[in-house]
Amino acid sequence: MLRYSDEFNKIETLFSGFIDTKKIDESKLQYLDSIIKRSNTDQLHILNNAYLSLDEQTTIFGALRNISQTTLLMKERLISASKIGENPTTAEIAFDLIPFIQNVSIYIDDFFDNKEIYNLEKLEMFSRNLYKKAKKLGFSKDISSQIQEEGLSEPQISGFIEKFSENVINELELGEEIGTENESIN
Amino acid sequence: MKVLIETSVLVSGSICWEYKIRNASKYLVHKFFSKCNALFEIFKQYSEQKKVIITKTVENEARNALKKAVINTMKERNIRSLRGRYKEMVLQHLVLNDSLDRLDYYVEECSIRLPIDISKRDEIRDTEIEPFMKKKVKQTIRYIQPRRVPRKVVTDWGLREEIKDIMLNSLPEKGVIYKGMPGERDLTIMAEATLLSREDPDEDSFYVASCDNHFKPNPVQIGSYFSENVIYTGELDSTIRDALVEEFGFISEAPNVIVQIFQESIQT
Repeated sequence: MLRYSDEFNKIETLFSGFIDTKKIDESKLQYLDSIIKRSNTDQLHILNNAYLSLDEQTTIFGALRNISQTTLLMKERLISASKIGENPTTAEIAFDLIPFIQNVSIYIDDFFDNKEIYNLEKLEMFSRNLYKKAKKLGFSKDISSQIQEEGLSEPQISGFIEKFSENVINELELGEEIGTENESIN
Repeated sequence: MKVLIETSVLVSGSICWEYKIRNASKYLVHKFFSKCNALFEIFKQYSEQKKVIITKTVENEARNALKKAVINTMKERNIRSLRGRYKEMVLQHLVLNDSLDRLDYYVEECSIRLPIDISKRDEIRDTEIEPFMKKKVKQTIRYIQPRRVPRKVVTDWGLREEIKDIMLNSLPEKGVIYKGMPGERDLTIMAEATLLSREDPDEDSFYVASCDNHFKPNPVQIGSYFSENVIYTGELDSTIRDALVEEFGFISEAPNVIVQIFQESIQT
């Protein structure tokens, strides 16, 4: 069975080779496909797992999505870099991201091995760090692209957002204050 | 001038969602976003003066509030199909991370963090703020109970309106308006504001920026805000806020008012 941390150790070695040889070997990037595919499948498994609370599902799903999206963008950007024969700056940046993915992978592997999550807060923290780092380095897609790719519809988005806004107000107990405001919601 | 950010400001300032669907731009902006964001952005221009403070308590509460709001949204929408739930998960992932990005920006780039002595803070909360507030809220009302003049008593519409105006004009004598006893979360932030303002007695004014009526002056209203017939007189009752200023030294205000005060102070 594929273990994320083992796979990313191999990818780290692969990227290290690109940096040393100053050449990105496009054919070897197919190796990333198995991780992308597995992490996408695992996202659905998490949603089907009745033993997990919604809070746990949300965190593990988010972590897996960060792994799959970052790996996908790594592959796409490395292919583009290879096509223009770039002196592998992209490979160096992708290489720097691996420790962030590894921090998340260890917890995900542990979850699949033991069927329980060791430390949800830590996983949430590392997953968030990965999201931020990937975004900063340009290894994440913008919101609109993700909405389009996932086929999220306008009613689904607006329905979610309206409920979310209501719940934020409830969490902060600001119902009374909102009533006195004249500002309108867009 | 120092400004301690309260949770409502940090959360409200974090929700501004922009996306495109079929080439049309869509926005979700929290009702208080513009004034909360303005406070951070204006003070950021003077960041070398280190005026805006976000404590760990406020940051943690803000993160938890966003997370809980997302979880509750999914629970309430209760989508059954696997495909539908997958899309819902993707959506919450996008919304939550976008809000947290903005929150991180305020924490990391627009504010400072000062050390807080937790035991001192808790002592101030339990022995000073809480007893003070418990005593004060006994003398307050949440809103003025409307005493409608029944139609069968006064049939004339004009006369009923005239009586209503007389009632409105006599409002200040009807009691102090306040939201009610603050929860532990708010009491803790009040204690942190007290502690920080006492530690810096040379500072001319120590503000708490808040959208919450537990902190800022309360709008005078007739009838519950749940009622369709609620009336706001346009007045603000700052009695409890002023009592807090006098006793503990921090001035709670709405973020837009603090921005106005700050802008006036730099012009003079």
